[in-house]
Amino acid sequence: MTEESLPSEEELVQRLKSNDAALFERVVKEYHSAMFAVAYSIAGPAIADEVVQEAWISAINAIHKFEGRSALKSWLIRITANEAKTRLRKESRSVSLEAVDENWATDTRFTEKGHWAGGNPEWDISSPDDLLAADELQDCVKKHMVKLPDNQQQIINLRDVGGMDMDTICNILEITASNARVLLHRARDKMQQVVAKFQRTGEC
Amino acid sequence: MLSCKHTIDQGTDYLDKELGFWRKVEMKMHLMICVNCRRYMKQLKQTIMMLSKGQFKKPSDQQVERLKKEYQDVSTDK
Ligand SMILES: [Zn+2]
Repeated sequence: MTEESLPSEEELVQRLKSNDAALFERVVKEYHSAMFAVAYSIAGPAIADEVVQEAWISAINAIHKFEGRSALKSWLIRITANEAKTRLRKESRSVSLEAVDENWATDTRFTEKGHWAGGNPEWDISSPDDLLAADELQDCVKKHMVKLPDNQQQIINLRDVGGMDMDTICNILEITASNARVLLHRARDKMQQVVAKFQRTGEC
Repeated sequence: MLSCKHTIDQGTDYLDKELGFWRKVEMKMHLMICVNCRRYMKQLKQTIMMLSKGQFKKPSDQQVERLKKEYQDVSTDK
């Protein structure tokens, strides 16, 4: 959440190219969090901060070349993801897709026939602003985001937190579009369940 | 008739318009008659919206200052 929204993309980029430090500071505050989430999910907690720092420095040095073919945010996220990837040791970055269907068959939300077992109640807190303002809920969301399997965490952060398009994500993570969509849905579904449980029970 | 479990499983493909024609029709029909799945789809969208706007880790003041300085240094070099 920001106090004041940023200017239009075009103006934003123009002003960043002409040394507007005050605006740069606002951009850092606005996008740092998403960049951190992406760095964290790809490179891990130990070097996430460093990765984001490096990504900003690359961005600062390249901003005069930025042509605005993508949104500034996606551009920053892509730089971050690439930085995170190069920092990763080769052996640790094999993406496992086998674990995708872990508990689909045993999902207790549904009856054997695939109907909602206990219905699906309306959420009390439902507008984006109210969801974001509920601190305990946000803490709970954060806690569960980092518990997602690595590949799900990477996709949901690139896609939903970072706002990147799926083609670019598939390129970065070197996975097929259909795998990416399955993983993304698993991750989103899990986060929906986290929010739903919190709304129902007040517990994380 | 699509089950609820299959319906919500296609939630992301539905939102991202990745379903083929008939699957989309099936899904629409299910959503028309099933309030629980309709709510789920609304909640899925709300969850995505929340994630896109959430601030998971704010930069520290030192980080911001350091980057700002870096930015100013690079800009004045040119
Ligand atoms: Zn249903």
